[in-house]
Amino acid sequence: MPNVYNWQIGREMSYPFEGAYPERQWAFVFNINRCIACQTCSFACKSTWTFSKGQEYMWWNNVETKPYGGYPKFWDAKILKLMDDAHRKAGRSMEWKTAGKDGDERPYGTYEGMTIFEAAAQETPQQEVALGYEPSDDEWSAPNFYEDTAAGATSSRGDTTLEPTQLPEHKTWFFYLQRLCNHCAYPACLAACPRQAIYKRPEDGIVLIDQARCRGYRKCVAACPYKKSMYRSTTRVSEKCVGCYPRIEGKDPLFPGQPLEARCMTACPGKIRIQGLVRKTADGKWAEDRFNPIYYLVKVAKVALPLYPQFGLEPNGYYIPPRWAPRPYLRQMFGPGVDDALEAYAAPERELLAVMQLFRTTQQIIFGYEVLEGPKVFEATIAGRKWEMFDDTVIGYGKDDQEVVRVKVEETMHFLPDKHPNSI
Amino acid sequence: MTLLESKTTRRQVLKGAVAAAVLWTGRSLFKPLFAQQSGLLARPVAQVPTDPTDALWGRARATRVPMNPQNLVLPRVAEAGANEIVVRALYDSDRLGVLVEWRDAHKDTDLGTVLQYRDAVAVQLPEDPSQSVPAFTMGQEGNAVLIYHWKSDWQFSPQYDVDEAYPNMHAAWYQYSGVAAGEMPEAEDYLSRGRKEFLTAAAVGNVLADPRAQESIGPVQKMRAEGFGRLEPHPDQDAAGSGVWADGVWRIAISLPRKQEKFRLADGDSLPLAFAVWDGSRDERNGQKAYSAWNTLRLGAVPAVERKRGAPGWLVPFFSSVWGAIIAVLLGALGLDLWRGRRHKKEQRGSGEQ
Repeated sequence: MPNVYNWQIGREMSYPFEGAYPERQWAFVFNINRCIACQTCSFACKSTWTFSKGQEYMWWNNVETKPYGGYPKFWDAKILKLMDDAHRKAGRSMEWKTAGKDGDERPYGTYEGMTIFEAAAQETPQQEVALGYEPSDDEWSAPNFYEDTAAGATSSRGDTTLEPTQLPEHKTWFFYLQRLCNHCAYPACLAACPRQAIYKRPEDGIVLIDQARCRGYRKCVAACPYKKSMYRSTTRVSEKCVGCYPRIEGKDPLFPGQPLEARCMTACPGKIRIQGLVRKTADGKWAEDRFNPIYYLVKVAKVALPLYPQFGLEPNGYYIPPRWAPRPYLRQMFGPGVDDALEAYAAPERELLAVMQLFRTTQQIIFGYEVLEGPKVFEATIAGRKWEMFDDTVIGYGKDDQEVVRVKVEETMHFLPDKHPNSI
Repeated sequence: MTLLESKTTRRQVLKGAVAAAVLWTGRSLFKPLFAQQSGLLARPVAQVPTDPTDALWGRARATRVPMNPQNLVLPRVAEAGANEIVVRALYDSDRLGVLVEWRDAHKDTDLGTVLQYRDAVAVQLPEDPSQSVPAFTMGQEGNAVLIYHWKSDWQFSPQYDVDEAYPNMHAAWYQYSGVAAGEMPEAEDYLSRGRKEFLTAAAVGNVLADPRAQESIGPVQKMRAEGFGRLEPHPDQDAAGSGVWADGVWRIAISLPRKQEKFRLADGDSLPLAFAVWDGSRDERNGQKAYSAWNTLRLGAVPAVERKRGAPGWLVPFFSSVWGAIIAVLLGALGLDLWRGRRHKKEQRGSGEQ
């Protein structure tokens, strides 16, 4: 198998195909801390794409309660178990070496364990392209099972490891994980398809199943560790998240010619989501694009992290981890970048606070931003350090450098006059 | 040995005798051992049956074809459901018929849930036999194979989907299905009454998703491939056939025209044939299958028993399986006799029949 470079795990890894990279890559950042699990994203997707017969169980976007919830049921625990078994068998462990972490090449250090591709290749004889499994109907049938179910002993209710002002890590905890296809740089679905019916678009990196070529073998369903390929019984073939590509292409009549974020992104009432297109270089790295909000959040502020980077797919969904959940759990899920990310998030620097205001402010994809400095409006001590807040203005620019949104850090307050106390 | 080597003719005679003795004492006496050694033989009939239970198949010679798990390319399978199939072939003036039988404890015809896979069988032949024989692994670039693929769901449960798998399910309304709220549409409704783009794969011409196209093709689809992963539906759909599952055995009859785009199979011609079998309950699909190497099929002459008008059909399989053994034994005995008696005859007659 050829070797490709996966910057999320800080090393080369084997992948069935040579690296081939899009001009731009569809990517998103979710702030888990803000999610209220209203499922508006899930329904925005369902009412757009998966309301037909045979698609009942398909939630291309879903929100699950961690640690117990999962759609399909226990998907991540099951793949982690398979990986653990493979590592034990090979006498290896899923460890990261963080000592050599370095800027762009290995921002989180180096993952020294095996990816799902490498673990499958360890099997003798090798039978599958990637380590995986196929969930049953039962596992797909309850997408929000364990909703709001917390981890932790009953005796530990209300216990925290630290004072609330010091970033509490709750002993009884859960958080919401918002999931959809990560349109990975090295998709396992694509790698596992015996017919090469899955392709990654050169213009935006969106991963699609060619509905004309697919023969319903479901190797993609087995191989995708995130379980975002799904079989449809009415067509005998598989379907997956399409990244709302017509909107990315500017086909939505709402803003003709302008790339719009996917439906699940723009529907978010909690303003946890931002989606964009990051520029890629010919060798697969992210081209420097300092004022692209996604680039800034992932590569500069390093506040948003990939989901299970150790699987080796270089997923393009990035998460600001929940600050109250136990760190070991978060490190397992988002890699060793968690501590830096939470530190950055808990006391955001001036630019980060401004950029975070851009989440969910316009349907148009923001290609660049600019921060106009405003007055200091607040100051506090966070984790023993002085923190200042400025009422800066952040401007988002669209594809043609036109202004698409302008928002201030301090939300404008509106006071209703007494005669309309109950009106909206 | 040295004694025999001194006279070639004696050795030939001895070979014949030994071969005959092996056959005689072999436990495969009642198995179509000869058929296996000499390849597949198609026998002529007035009309090739498409019903696998048709009595005419009894006139065909049964040949055992060993099957192997596909373990050359990923995804592989270490062990496959079918270890062996039994093949019979008949032909008429226009068509070649192949009957494939194999043991399969489960009849897998439903694809209504995410873990259900179909039983299926494929018969493969070169697209252009005048070229060198293509790789039995579905051909190669520039040297294609034709594949006649029978799918159990196309015959038995073409529209078995979520509501058949879960009869108590409820759905308020399937928008664009063409049926009213509260009614359960079938896939076909999207094509005939609703909006086809919501039966996505069918809308872009994927036959697997289009029950109407399947109905017009029948359960055997003609396909073309130039190597693994390069299977495509053939523009001409000229297959016929059907399958029957009974008592743990699948019997699938597949009929195809002797006149293909790039050749015509004449009487007496030979043609390489290969086979693949998928066992749905073992999750077999795509390259995870049992397959055979090439076997040579010959369109043989009318057998003697068939020339006798009115010869009872039940006699035919008896002759076809045991006849060869008897001949060989007789030849062997004759050879032994020749050797012992040191008679001066034309020695070649004694050589072992293969």
